Amino acid sequence: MRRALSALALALCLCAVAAAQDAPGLEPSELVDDALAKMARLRNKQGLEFFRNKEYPEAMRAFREAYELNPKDAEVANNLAYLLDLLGNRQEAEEFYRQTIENDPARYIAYLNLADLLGRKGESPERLIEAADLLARARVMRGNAREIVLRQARVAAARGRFEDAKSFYGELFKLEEPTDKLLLEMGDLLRDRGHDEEAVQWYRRVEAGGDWGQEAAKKIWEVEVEKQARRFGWTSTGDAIPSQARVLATRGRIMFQGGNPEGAEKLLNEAIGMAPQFAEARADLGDVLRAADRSDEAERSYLQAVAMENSNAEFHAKLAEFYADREGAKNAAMAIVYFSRALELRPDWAELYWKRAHARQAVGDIPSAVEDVRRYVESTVSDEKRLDAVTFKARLEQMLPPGTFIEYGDDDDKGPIGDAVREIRGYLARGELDKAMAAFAALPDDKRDPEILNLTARIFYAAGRYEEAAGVLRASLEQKDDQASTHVLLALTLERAGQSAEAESQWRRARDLGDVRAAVHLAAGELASLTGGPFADMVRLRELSALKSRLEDLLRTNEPGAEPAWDLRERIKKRQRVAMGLWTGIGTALILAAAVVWRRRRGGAGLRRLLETHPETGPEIQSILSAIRHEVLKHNTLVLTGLADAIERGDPSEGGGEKARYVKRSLDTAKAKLDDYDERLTGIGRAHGLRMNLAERDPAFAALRAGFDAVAACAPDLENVDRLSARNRARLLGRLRTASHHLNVEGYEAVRELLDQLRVLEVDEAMLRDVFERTLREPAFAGLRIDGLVFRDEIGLPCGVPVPRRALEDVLTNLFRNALQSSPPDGRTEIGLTVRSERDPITAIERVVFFVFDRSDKPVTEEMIRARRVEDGLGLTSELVGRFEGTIEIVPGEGAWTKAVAVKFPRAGDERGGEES
Amino acid sequence: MTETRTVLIIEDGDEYRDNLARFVPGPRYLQAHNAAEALRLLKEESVDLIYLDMRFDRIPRADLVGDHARVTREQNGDAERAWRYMEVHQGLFILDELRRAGFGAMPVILAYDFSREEKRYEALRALYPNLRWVPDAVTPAEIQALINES
Repeated sequence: MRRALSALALALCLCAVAAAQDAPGLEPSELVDDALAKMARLRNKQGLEFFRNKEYPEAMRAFREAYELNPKDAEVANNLAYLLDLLGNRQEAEEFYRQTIENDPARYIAYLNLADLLGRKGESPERLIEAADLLARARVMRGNAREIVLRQARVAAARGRFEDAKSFYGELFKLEEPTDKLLLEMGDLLRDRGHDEEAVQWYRRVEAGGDWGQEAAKKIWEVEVEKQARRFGWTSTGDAIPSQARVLATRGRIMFQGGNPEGAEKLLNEAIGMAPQFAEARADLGDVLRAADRSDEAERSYLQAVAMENSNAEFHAKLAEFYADREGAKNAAMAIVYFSRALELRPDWAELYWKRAHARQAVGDIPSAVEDVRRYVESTVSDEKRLDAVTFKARLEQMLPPGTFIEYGDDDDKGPIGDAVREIRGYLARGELDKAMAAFAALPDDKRDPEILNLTARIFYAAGRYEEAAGVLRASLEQKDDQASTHVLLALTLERAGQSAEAESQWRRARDLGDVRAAVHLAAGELASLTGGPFADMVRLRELSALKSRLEDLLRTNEPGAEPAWDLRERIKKRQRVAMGLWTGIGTALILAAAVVWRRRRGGAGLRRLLETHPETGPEIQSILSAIRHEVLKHNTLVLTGLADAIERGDPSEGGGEKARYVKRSLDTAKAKLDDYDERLTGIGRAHGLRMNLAERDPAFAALRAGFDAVAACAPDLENVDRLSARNRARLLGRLRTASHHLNVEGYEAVRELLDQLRVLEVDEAMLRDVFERTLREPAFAGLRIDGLVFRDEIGLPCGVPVPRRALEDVLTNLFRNALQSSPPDGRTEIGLTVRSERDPITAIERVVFFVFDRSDKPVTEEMIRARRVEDGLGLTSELVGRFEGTIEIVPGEGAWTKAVAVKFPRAGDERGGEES
Repeated sequence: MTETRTVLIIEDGDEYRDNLARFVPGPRYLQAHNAAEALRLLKEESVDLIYLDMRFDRIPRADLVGDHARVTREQNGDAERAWRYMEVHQGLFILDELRRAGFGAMPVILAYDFSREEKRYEALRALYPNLRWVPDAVTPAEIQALINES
């Protein structure tokens, strides 16, 4: 191209030289420039032609060639810049505009064009200022031209210089009557600055039937909607977004996700500066600000995004989540509104039902929350989430639900202004409270009947503006007091406003008007007031029962709102069950306590059972019983009988008073000893796992206790026996005889019987041989050649020994085992067993002696046995023998026997020797 | 007119002396707490009857009579058990001591219930022909009768 132009230029030069010979005064170079300028003009003209025909590529080519031919041509540069700007190449356009002005500083159109380029909304302040300067210079050149003043107004608006903009528009409208479009533009300017009322005035000046009439009506409606929206905190509208802004926003979003919120905020703000209507960027900025805990700014940013793109479910969801994360019923109510709107736009976003359920729970709208969870569960969620949801739903269902939800209308379209009501309800149903409020505001006052007022109140209620809601509801009720549901809503509103007393009054009024929800609510309150826990419920069973009956009556009505009564009734049943359970428990505990007391008093064991279950305690028990006989019974038998005899004789010379006091002291001492022995025997029982109750379960102790009790009963008389009347002496005598009988007859005989019945083992030959045979069968003696037991009975078995069978068998088994093991291994094994008796020369106690003979040559001494040095087990045997008052010793053999181990036990039974006295 | 009899009470405490003095009046009561005291009184006083307790567990073990070494051997080599045995049966050890001192024929009332140990009592009667016994549950009248018989 360039070569072609050079060839063309060369040709032109040659022509120019030839021409110069005919044209005096012009240099050849000037001739060439002139030719090029003409050609550039020609090409520019062609470009304009293409431009008019919207053949932009051809036009671009033509303008560029023209510029190549003559860069000094301001018109060409301006045209090229204009087309570049038109086609979006703003950077090159700016260069050519500047080139134009440089080429021709007086070309005022270039000032306008460059001002248009630099003065757009979102441009940097410097460029906007330059735009303003360009226009000012243009105005100097051209004066108050309409196109300049209009641009000045717009640039001033872009710069945010509202008063300047307003002034420029004012100048403009003096120059010419504003067109409908300019009226809209002026309205927009005012609207952008928040001058809604003025804006609407400008919009209203637009011709209704004209091209812009519909647009103006739309803007008027939007202003009204925004006006209501601002009452609840949100705003509106959008336009095309420059790609650069989108790039910036995308980068900002990535930066935020990458953990650089500061950088993200900067980029997003740049994007928004470039495109203020860029809703997505505002929503993203909201995310950044929310993360930085800059709640107010975040909220504003989200609200702007929602206002700009009201049909964007994501923005609604984000704003809803923002509110849901904040505390307070008002925020929860706002969250519900936006979740609802998001769900209306995207019903498939099941997660939002879950979130809205929580928000509804927060405002106390339990039934709706339950419904949301149900929808959530019905959607495709994971098992884990489903489990969470079901659990949450169950928890919700346990909560107090009556009257805590808002009912958005009942499809009654027969109101006096049915269309308006339907419209308002429609907005409410979609959570579009701003539009609902706008529609309400549009209604004339004379048509604001109770139904409209109730709807209005619901809007206020949903927005968390409870005071205003209450005011409207009161106005509604002033018009018509028998609106049960209005009383309910007023009650709810007042509760939220913290006016519990008046709320209660409204609940009662609603209940009196037949509102089931109110009745259920009051029942719930009544139930909640029955505090104090299960123990308090125990004495309120009748109240609970009456409340349950009332709830059942409500349930039988099957009216809407009665459902929570099911839950309340179940809660009452549960409390009744717990209270009844407590009664049952207390009853059971009392019975158990009585049983324990009875067992402590009447249960337990006596000595007989202790001896039966633990015969090894025999010797110790025997020792204690002997002590009781000696220390408790012996002397007191004498003195008690002696005293009784003295009193019976009635002889003062007997010294009855002194004797009586002596007897009392003796018996007191004896009783203390009995207590001590009782304690020792109880301790023995406890050591063997038996709870003893000697006073109740042992005949001997029972009799002794009865005797001492009888003595105690006559203690005062014993102190004053000398001064007793004849009758009282007779009574004392009777008591002493009774005590004497208990102690000397019953107690004494019982103790003696116990001693007699201490386990006595009857020993005969068969038993002794059986022990020997069992010993032989032990594995240690398998294969041993045994010639048998040489048995000699020298006392005439059977005989008795006070040793438990198991103990005697263990002792004899060990003796046999020892004899077998110590027998010479190479010979025949023979063991001898001889039973004899001997009597102690001093005490005359008879003992049964078991001699076990063997032929062992191993020396064994008694010391070895008793010192437990014998490995064959006689050491332990010695201990066992000793436990039952027995003795073990080594005696010399007789005949072929080398030695014998002799075990002695006191002989029991008929000859009960060895009893301790 | 009945002659006042002298009864030597041998016991480890004072109960028999107090009780008998109060509830079995008539005899003159002497008291010894161990065998040595008893022998001294028997030598010093004209004693008609000995009232002997069986169990002596409230006097010093040094005052007990009996061959502790022998008893220990008979009690499985257990010295403590031997002491207990000697305490519980000290009445009979004292009787043995008196017998060996020449008082074996003295009338003796032993406070011990032999009702379940007749053979043992017979064995003792072979050694002490004037031995009588009273059970633990005894009345003053019964004691009085026995004193009178002895």
